[in-house]
Amino acid sequence: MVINVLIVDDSAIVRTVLRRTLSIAGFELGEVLEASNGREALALLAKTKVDIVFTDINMPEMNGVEMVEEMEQSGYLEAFPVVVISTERSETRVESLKKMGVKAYIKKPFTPEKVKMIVDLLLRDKVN
Amino acid sequence: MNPTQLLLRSLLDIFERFGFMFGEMPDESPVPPPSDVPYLNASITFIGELGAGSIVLAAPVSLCDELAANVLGLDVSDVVPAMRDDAIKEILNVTCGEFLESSYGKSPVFDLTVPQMKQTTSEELAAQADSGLLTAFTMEDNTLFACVTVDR
Repeated sequence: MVINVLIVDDSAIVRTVLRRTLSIAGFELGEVLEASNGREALALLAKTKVDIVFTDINMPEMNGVEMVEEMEQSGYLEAFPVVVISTERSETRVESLKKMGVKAYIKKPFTPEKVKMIVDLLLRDKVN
Repeated sequence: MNPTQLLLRSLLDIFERFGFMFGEMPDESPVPPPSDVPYLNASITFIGELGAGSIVLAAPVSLCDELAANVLGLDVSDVVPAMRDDAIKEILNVTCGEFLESSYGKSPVFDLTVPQMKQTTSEELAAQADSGLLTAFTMEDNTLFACVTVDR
């Protein structure tokens, strides 16, 4: 199955590593969109469909939490599964994001195994 | 462990897991200051319900190049300045998360700033280390400097 993803992180190096990690994990990537903050990501989502959105929290302009809030209000959160990949580890924040509708949370630094496990689960949910 | 020891432990762990680089906790003997070595000095601040503060990490430009090359699977000669800047900022960002978890546990929420960076010199850093503002440690035979301040 070919998957289209949006990777939202202000670090180009992290975006590259995640793209490579998805390939190493065995996923066939179609379109890989990149944004360096939440505002850029929302603009891309307005005109393109993706299967999964991976987002950092700590970003300039619009951070990941603000982006998820906007996605919730605009209905994007139901259309696009969001996985937060961040250095922030507070369980309180993770729970709050999950209540909002975020599908999964991965701590940085991430491993291919962890990313594969989460993406497999999301794709299985999508098929079902 | 005091905050500096926790920070250094977090740094060594993240350098190893993110950058595939290995370092050592500083021993009792002072680290000889390097001379004429350009450094990147990255900083990040955090604020939350249990405390606020900042973390500084300074590393030689050449080590930042190696770090970026390791992370991206490139030859060092293919690394451009934006990659090395990103690499050291990301190390600091992830380290800050690990430091906060090891210091305050998994519950409290902290907001982190986007890491800032500037170029500096080994002489300036050595002077700060001499006056106790920075702690030196070793990574892959390079001298790095770090400090954490907790305001409340």
